[in-house]
Amino acid sequence: MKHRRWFYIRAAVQLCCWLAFVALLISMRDPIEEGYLYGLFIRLSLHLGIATSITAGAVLTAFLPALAVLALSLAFGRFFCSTVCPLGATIDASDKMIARRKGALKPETSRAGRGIKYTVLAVSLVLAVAGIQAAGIIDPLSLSLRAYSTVLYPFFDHLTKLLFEGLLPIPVLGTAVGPLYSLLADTVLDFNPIVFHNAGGVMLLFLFVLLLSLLARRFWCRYLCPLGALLALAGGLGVLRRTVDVSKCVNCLRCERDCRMNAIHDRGLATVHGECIQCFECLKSCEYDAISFCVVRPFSTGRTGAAAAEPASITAVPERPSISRRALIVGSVASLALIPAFRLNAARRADFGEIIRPPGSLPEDEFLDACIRCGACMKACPTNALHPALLESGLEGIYTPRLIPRIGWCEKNCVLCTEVCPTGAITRLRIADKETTVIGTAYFIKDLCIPWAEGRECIVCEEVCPTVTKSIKFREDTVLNKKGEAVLVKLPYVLEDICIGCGICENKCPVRGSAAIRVRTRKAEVPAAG
Amino acid sequence: MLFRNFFPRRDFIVKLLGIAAGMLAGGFSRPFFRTLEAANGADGSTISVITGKSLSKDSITLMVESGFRQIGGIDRFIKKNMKVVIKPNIGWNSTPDKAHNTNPDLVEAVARMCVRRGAVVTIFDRSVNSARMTYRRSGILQAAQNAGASIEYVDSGRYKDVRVPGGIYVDSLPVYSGILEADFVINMPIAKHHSSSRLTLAMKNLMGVIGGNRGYYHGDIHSSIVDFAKTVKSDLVILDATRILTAHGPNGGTPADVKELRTIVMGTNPVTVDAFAATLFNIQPTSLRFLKIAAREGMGEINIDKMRILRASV
Repeated sequence: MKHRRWFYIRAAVQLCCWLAFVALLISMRDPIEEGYLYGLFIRLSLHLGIATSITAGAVLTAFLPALAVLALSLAFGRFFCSTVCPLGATIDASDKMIARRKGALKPETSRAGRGIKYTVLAVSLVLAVAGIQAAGIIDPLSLSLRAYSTVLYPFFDHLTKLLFEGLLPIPVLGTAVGPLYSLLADTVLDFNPIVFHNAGGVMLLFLFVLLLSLLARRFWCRYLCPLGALLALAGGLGVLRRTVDVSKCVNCLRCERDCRMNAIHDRGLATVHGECIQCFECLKSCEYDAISFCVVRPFSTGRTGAAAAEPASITAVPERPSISRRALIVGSVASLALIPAFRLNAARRADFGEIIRPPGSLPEDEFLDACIRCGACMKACPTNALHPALLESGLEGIYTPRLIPRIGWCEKNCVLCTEVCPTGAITRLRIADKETTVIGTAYFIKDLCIPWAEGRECIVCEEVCPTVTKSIKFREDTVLNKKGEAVLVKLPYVLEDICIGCGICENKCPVRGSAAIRVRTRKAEVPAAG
Repeated sequence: MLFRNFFPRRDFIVKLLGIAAGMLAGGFSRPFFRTLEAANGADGSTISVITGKSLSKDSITLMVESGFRQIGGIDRFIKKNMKVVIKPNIGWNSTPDKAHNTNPDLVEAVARMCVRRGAVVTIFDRSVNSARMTYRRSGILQAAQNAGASIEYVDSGRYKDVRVPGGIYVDSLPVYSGILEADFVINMPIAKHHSSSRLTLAMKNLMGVIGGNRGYYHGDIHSSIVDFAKTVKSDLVILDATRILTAHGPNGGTPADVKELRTIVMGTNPVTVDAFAATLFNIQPTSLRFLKIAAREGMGEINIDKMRILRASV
């Protein structure tokens, strides 16, 4: 137990990384001058980097930091999973709340199951070659950023505000906690009440991943994580390794029992290096100080001590990565069957008429290739306009950002989503270019529109229209009001050539329920090429 | 049929009760137009029109100082420890050159004078665009910091229903608490074109402290504007005509639509200030319906010839 401090140091590093992740997430809001840093965690994923470079058809330099992770993994093994990964941290934290049935997974199943993640990785990459961005849906980094942005943070934000709304009116207590609330409001709480359409759809996958821990500790990381698979391949070659001093080891099996990755076998002596995530839990467990992590040459047995010199007494050999060739081939072929599931998309037939993408987005097909569904744009949007799609643009568009003007409009002079997008699916825009960036076109539903249908004055849409010469115009004309009287009112209409589709008109339209002016996608305007 | 006949009567009784309550409340509360005739010997129909040499900060500060001197000195208005609210137009996420929001240098100069006088100054408006971005890009966030004033973002939970005395379009309006709790309100509009009301000036600027459904007020914008001015007091009006927006208002416009007038108009009655401001656009005050209604209601002088106009160039 002498070395147990390493466990706590590692845990502290993990906490710091998680805090950094959350701090970056929260600060992903106005004002942002330079957005590179905000996508830092995303950029660390080699899996996203490779898959997105394939789908986007170009090597994405955005993911260069992932190469640093790869290099470090060759030295320190799969350290990333136990320190940096925010999903790993969340799984570890939630693990305490999960009542796991002992022996839910048989040891043989548990061992054989490791290979599944390589198949998941293969499926992700095969789909990428087929031009389908599935990596972003399941990558731990985009998964966690998306879940934190659209589910956990709004939840925390709302809960905190609710709590203080209850506390503040209480006479003495309210005055006491007032400054704390101001501090929170200025630092971590959102400026607006935020809520995300389809947040439940994001939560479902996230909860599923967390609840897998009912079967085994870190189930996701052991068996399913595609990034974990890549890092296991690299980390298996790492030189910092768990070694056991056989002269001290009494084969008490505590380390084997406590290992969250089930990476220890052979009565505590053998380690599956690709599976070991260097969490140092075994250092904490071992009462005999038999375990240490030190630099060893690859393919050594990882045993030290007097007895280690007698190879005859030790029979176990280090395990190789549990990749089954058959599973890989079956997985790759099976993933071909997934292609139609992604490609058969009714929204394509409708020309994505209802899907408005953020300003500066690539053309729809390229956008779907490059967007990794991380939700950064949704978090950054100051008007809460961007929401994760569920199946509105098909399975291929799941979790992609979609502007819903009735909830929030595309703010004039704002380019925050373009700043934070880590892959360039939303290309960088200068504020000067924003004014003329078209994301859609407004149209009237005259049966709902107050002046057209009821003969009363309104034209709020014209008032709020931000284009310099106003793309909503009006003419004064006589219409019949609800009583059948002829009245002279200002009747609004849209100049489609000037309209940029920002949607503030739809948002501010005073008609209750659905607006009388709505925005449809720019794509609906132009016939698709070919 | 019985019901249909019955309802108007019940409505009538309710209205009668409302009027009685209003009369009682009106009797006990202070008058809505607290003009300062007693203090400076001038009535609400006195306005001061100051034109500066340039749009520099120094020039604008001189304009404000001169304006205050003309209407009786700042000491007459602002007392030590007074809670002063400055209500500029911070509606749109635009830079000052676009003339969508009140000139930040003007806001700064006014706020600084009040702070130096020992007042506690708060600045806010209900922005149409994203409030945080709008406060910053308008320059007013920085202006407040420079002047030692604080800003407030409007909290949608802090509106109180206030009866409109002699309401034309509405009987009551949700008014922002921040303005109701103030000792002294400085209404600081920017003079702009507006397609619904033709011009947006001091009276219309008060819409920024009114909650509720914007579209409803647009149903009869002119009567609504009058109701706003009846409900919310402006102890002092400082109208920004340093740059005015002459077309595509209130938030569009090409550079050609922005006219530099380097002028501010100060007065204690928003109706009178607005009537004068209309002439800056070569518009007859009587051709603006909200001014005609306000004049008919006896809320202020809109005849230019009957105003006492104190002009100065600095």
